[in-house]
Amino acid sequence: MNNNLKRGPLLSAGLFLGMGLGGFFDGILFHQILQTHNMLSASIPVVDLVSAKINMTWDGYFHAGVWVLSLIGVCLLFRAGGRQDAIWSGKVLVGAMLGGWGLFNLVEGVIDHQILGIHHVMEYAVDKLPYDIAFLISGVIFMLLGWLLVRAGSQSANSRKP
Amino acid sequence: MTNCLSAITANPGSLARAALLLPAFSSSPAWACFDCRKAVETQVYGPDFTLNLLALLLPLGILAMLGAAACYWDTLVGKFRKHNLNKNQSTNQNKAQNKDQQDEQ
Repeated sequence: MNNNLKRGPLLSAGLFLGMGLGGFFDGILFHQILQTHNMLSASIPVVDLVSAKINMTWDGYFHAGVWVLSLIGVCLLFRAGGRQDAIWSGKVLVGAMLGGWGLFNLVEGVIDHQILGIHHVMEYAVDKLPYDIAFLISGVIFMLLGWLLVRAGSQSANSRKP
Repeated sequence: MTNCLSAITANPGSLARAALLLPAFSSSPAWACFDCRKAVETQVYGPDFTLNLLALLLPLGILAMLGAAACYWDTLVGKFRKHNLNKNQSTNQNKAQNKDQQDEQ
């Protein structure tokens, strides 16, 4: 590996993309397909059409936020692609994306589920804590796997071929 | 930006189509069903709107800051390594000085 190559540009692009896509995964799978929770389902429980629509609106604001994160990721990836002094490796990108997804699960899980309590992973379960903990653990595992991939990719990465 | 402008000027139809979206931004804030629209609007865009929005965007803001910090990964790691290197060097120097003093004694 060329030690002068920078990891930051590709790493930050992958992290933003991972955080954005992780947010979309959460929104699509848990909010819409499985409907285990919505963004404010703990403070505004879904009991009728109006409360469902209110939660749908807040889900929309959340999706707008993760869309912005994804957009930043795409822009950063485009910039990293044009830099000769930056690492260009699929492993680093996938690792950073996995890390970003893990970071999303960890940060969102700690703030929204544990500190603010605006929703939980399984809102309608009797005991919500095990699911919230599993969500946090998944975040840590994704981050570890991502870090391993980034390390492996950095060691084998070469400078960009002209 | 220049590409976008040239694309719009080359194809004025795209601007007209984009303009069709404009009324959506100046209309009712939520187009829920007729029966529940008023209740939804009142409760979403009520006094708690800012608080709810801040609570919702707080983790995303923190994530964005972490992602932005990763842009400076190489600088941060470089500084950390340099700091450790200086620390080790000064520790080694101290050890050598102590040894010299002990030898003199």
